[in-house]
Amino acid sequence: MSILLDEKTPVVIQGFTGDKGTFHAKEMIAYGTKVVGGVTPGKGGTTHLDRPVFNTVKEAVTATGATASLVLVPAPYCADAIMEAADAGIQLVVTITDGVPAQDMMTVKRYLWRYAKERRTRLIGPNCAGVISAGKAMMGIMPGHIYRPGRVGVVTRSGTLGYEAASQMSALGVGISTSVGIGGDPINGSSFVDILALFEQDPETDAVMMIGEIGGPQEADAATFVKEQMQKPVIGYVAGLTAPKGRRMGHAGAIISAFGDTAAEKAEIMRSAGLIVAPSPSELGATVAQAVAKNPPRRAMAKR
Amino acid sequence: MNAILVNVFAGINRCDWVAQGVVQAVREIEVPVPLVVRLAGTNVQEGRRILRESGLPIVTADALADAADRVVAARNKTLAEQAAVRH
Repeated sequence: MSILLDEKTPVVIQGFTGDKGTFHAKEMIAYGTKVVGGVTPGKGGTTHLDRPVFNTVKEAVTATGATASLVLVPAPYCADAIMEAADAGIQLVVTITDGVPAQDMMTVKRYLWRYAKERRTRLIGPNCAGVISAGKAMMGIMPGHIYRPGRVGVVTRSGTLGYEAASQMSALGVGISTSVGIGGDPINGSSFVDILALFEQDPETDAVMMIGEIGGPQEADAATFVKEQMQKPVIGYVAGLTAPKGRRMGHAGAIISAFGDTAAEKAEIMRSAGLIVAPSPSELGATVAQAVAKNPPRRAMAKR
Repeated sequence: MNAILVNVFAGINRCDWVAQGVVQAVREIEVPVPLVVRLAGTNVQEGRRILRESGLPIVTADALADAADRVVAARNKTLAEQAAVRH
């Protein structure tokens, strides 16, 4: 089943006709994603990559039945693009763009909360690699060929470390159900906890790898959630062991400013909550492979 | 500085762009220490081909652990050579 996305999900791309939109739309289509069209204001009525272009998301939804949107528009227009997608009834919005102002994200989150929970849009990102259900479909900028289909869920703040995990796991014969990049910004659409909850409910996911980094309370919240609410094994990693205090390390949200923000502290919080923690970024795959071998799915055990 | 490691797992970035940049840099500025480049992800084959065909003394690696081992080995070699010169 995977989570969030599969080969049947109709996807539109906001920023379809731009340079990045074009390159990654081609990759997504080649991977098997059902890309039904795109939105570029002013280019409505034309076609691009053999698919229709619309002026607004609402027109795209009416004409194509799209339920998901990939946002690849420049940062100053992102908040508007996300809110437009939500207003048009899109259920899943994945935002890749880096540099969306935190103030804009506060506006976006408040806007999304105005909708009743049953029809509320789920936002992934911004500043993320996107979502891929291995072997089925992808919405994002990841290199699709590194993901082997399988039964481990991945959720990560860093895109690159998500790729690293996927390729190491694949080399060891361990596959992925869905990999979700939640992004490196301090205010994001979906948190570790939000995605862990989806994986816990997914019958095609047996274990989860979560890759955190310095800065913010998300990893500690996730560790508590794993301890109190999850049955499936969770393998953790926290990037930034050598990061100095007070310096932003690439991501807007990756900065040690408060107690509990360092990689060592977060890894310890994870361990004390029962997570298995990978010792280094080159051992992400091996740690998952070991954990999966030690923890066969409960269903399979019950059958024996 | 005793060695340089360039490690890129490309997503929105592309390995061919990175390889072109590395080759251009090595040709334009003198890099006095060993250079290890590890490329993976988007357009990786093209990126590795550019490095291979450049004819430049660039050490390449496929996996992260491998890249780390090679850059540490290169650093140790640089240090050993510097020590030998001093004696």
